[in-house]
Amino acid sequence: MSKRAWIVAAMLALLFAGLMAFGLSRGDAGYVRQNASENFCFS
Amino acid sequence: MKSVRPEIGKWGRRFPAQILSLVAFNGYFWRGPGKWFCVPVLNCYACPVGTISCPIGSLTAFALARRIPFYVLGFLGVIGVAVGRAFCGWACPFGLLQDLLYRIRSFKFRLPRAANALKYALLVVLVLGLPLILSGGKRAGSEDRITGEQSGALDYCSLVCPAGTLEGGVPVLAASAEVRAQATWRTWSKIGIAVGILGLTVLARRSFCRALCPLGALMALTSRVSMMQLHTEDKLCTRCQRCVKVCPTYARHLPFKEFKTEATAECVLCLDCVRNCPEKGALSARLCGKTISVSEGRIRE
Repeated sequence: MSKRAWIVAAMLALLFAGLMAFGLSRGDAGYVRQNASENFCFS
Repeated sequence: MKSVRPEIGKWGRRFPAQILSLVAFNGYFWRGPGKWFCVPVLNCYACPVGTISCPIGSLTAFALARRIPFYVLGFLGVIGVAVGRAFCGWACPFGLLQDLLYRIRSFKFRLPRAANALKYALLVVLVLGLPLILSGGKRAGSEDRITGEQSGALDYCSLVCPAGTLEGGVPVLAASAEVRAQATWRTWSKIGIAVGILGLTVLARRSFCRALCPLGALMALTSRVSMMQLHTEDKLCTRCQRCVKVCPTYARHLPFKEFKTEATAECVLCLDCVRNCPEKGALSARLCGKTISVSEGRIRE
């Protein structure tokens, strides 16, 4: 990977990690778990 | 581009990895606390037998509630930047099924490259657009404006997802006469769609991944900047096109981008090209600049 590609990848990884942390802080993971556990859409 | 005849090639360690993930992600075999995680493989989202959450089902749920899915996008983004679409090639149970179905002897054809764009349209329309527009921000118990049912499940992707039908729908229908009696037109249309898609994958390799998988579309957005990429050595490559022939998604094609490090949206990093390359050291996979797999030149055409 070129240096530029490295920087882009690292910045994007940080951005996504930040998004994930923000989502976790407001309870998104619980929402995901709840939806995935309660709904059953075979019909 | 010169047309080449596709070949299946050697599977290597990918097949055991796919089997392992099939066992790990389906509650028919075991259950754990994995519903918190949206692992980027196509796995029945709403079905109780799924051990993890399907990212597509989760995104739809967020769209229905008109919430921005920070956690889901962040989680998928981190994985995408780290390993691109490697989960599609190594871990997706539906990918394994497609790989197996393509081994059935039959007439084969290649989907046109333009078909790749269809999955992006499905992602935008089915997964995000329709739930966002039609739900009115409601979730459980709200009336579905398309089907008119008080089902609480407005997941439009669940109306067509073949993975959900196969993993959740068909086994439950097969096991219970009571459930079969409750089946609606939606149930049978889903089964018809699944059969049609599976039939297509017998004829066209990884056709669902290439043209129809909204999760593949989502992961493809970050795979171009992924830290895991293929690298072709200009001096060692003889342009035999063996890698082009064995590529399940037809991501590789001549010219090899001036023989530098390559990253394409369609590459699922299955490394079949590396395993089947007849020239030692000509093709390699690199993670964070470190070589993790290199062609050994054992296989000759």
